[in-house]
Amino acid sequence: MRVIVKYSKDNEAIYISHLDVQRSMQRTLRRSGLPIKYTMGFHPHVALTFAQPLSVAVESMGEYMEFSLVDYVAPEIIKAKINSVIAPGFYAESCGYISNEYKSLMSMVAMCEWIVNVDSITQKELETEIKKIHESTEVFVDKHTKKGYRTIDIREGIIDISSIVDIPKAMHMRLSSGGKLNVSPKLVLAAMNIEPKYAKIIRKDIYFEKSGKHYPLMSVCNKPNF
Amino acid sequence: MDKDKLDFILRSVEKPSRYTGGELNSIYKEPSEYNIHYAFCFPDVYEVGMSHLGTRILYDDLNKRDDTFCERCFTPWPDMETTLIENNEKLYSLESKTSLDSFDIVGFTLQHEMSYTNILNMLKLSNIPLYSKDRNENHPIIIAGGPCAYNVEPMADFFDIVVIGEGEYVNNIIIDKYALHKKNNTSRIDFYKELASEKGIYIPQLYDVEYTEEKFSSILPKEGAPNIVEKVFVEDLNKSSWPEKPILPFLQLVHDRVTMEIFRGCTRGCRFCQAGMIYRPIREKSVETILDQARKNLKATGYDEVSLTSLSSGDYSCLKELILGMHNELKESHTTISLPSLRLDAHAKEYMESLETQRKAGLTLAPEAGSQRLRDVINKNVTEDDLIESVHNAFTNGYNSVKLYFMLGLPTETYEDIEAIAHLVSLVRNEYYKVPKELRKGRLRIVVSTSCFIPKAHTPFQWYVQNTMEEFMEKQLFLKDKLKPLKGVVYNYHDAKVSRIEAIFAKGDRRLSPAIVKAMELGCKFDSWSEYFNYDKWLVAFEACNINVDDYFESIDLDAPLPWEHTSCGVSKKFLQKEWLLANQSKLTDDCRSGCKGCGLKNCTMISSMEERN
Repeated sequence: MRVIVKYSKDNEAIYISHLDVQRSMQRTLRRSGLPIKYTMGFHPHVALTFAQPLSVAVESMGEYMEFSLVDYVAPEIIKAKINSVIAPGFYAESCGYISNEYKSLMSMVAMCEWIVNVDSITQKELETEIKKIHESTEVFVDKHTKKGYRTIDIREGIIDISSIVDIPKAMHMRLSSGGKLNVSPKLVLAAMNIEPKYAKIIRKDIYFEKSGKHYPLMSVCNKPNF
Repeated sequence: MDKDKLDFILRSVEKPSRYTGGELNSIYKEPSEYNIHYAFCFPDVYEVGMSHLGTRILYDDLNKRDDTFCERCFTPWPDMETTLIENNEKLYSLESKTSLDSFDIVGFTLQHEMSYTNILNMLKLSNIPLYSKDRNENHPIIIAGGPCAYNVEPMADFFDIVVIGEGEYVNNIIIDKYALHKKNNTSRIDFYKELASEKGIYIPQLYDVEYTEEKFSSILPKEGAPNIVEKVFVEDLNKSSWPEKPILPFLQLVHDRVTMEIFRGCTRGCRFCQAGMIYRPIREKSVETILDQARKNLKATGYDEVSLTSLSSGDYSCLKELILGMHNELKESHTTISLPSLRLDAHAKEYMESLETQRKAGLTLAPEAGSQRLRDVINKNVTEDDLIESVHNAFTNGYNSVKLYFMLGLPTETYEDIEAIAHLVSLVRNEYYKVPKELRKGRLRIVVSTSCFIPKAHTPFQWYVQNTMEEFMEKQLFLKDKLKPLKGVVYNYHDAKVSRIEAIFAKGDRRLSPAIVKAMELGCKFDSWSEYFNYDKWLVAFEACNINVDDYFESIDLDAPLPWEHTSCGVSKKFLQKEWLLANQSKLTDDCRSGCKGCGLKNCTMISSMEERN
């Protein structure tokens, strides 16, 4: 029985790398006492996958992980059991069962929603930078890949970008993710010539796409528990 | 520290979770509600420090007190050090992010000599004066303890209080007295004088050291301090403090598992081994205690591995019962058991299958010396037959990789002894090919490592003069050449330069302190990390302080006074002298379990438990 959990990551936990989050969640599930399904083979471990890695120092309100249970447990109990033993800084927001017709969480990811707060420039400069992106048809940045730096056009991946009315020097972004074009807020910041250490980044949620429309990953669940 | 500033600093460094705290089971208290604020400092990076069991035991033990909030601090990696300085921030504790200079007590653990510059650097980054004499009542009290406390002299001038022995007991005495001192607002020096009369507490400033003709001649107590500070140890490990909910770090540690201490001390009496001398007597935990503590630790962490540790875990008297019991309990939860320093004797077969199976690739053995003669000199009671039997058992059980540890530069060593290492390795190799081909798994890999022997205080080899750097390098190249024709053998050797510096401090005296300060000022840090160790800077530091390094490599008369004899681990000088003479005749001294060897230790639990048995 496939279970997906939407969780948040804040406070000191934002400094934990994806690899360390994976290990931490495996141990959380072991502590929870839930009837977790282990991998087969010589050295069984908790079978656990994540929708999308999150960079170090980025906060999130919408992270997703998936594992399987060998017996049915009501979603609200799953959530309660996880939250009773979860590491500080993490919180299971909601969880539910996902039908086998869906592929892996990771393969569904199409878009992420972000809030980015920039310290090093003025509100006016920020508005100008956003305007520049709106007006351009291509935005070139150097992307760090396994083979070194590569210049790519990220314009198509910036689905939406705007300043936030009631928070100074903050932007709201919807950026394509997973699949072909994976645009992180850091790339958008690079296009604006802003060093990431001057920015506070929050991931709001992760979305999949269906007939040209985006839906939060949690909505694949059958009656999720919120 | 201001949160925004801290966030900015953390976004600027590698592996920021080294500096955040906030791990599961870490302990948070409101500092203002606790009378005593204690910073437990480990002078190495987080991942190393959090792997250290002693740190975890003492952190938990101090926090069990309802008057104390104990926090942790590790050495910032050089990128963090630079970032702190650039941002005008002092070194801070992980839990409440308080700078170290605002604590009541700052305690350091002294695990090895090459961490000394890190200790001074941590004080400097906290704006705390290095020398005890330069600090006043507004500064924290600086405490140290751990194995190097038994010859703390090179660092003595920096510490106010040194714990000789096991901290579980002594720390509580210190804090009880400190609480009174704080309440009654007595002077620091009176507080120290009062502590000096307690067992296991050494107050360096209450001792005057004299030198005649550039040689150490005496160390004398004043103001009523004892001539000899005797160590304190926990008598019953079943009753001593144990963290039931150990901190679960997010970062992957060097030892990332539940670490169960199954006993303290060691009965083998290897003559080179300081741990074997200073942690006497042997004290075992019962099988019930171990199972109970392991159960609680696993539940509190979710770890999937338990490691049964001690100085020589194969010697635990109920090993089979323990492993089978644990295996029975843990198999359902996919938890594995690992046993470092396992002696693969005939009995091992009975529980081998219960032990960790997946990572079967590695077996580690430490014959320490190549020839039987030299193994007898060091009192390593292991024969060639034992070793061959061990690897034979391992190879037939599916192991295909062996690590073999040796030391170069042991007393009385000749080139024949070194050649014997190569011979022993070839025997191990042959043993693998004797196993029927269908039972062998993959390709054979033997890793041979040699360290450079460092004579340590409080061991029979304290009278031995270490090899020179040239001798070490020549021996390493000789062995490299001898191992070359053996396929599947990899040879690693330690840097002789580090060992030379470590040897100076291992048997050093108080005259060395300025050199440690100088080295730190020149930028020496993380000296145990090869990428940071800088031999030339050390030489410059000694030179600048007019220290002739060769003075510390002179032979010492058997009866000469030694700079570390006033801090005693309980083993008598007479016993060490006798052992040194026996070593020179290649004569063995049997395991304590075969009968008391008269090392001089008072309250030896080994003696009482043997009397009980008889």
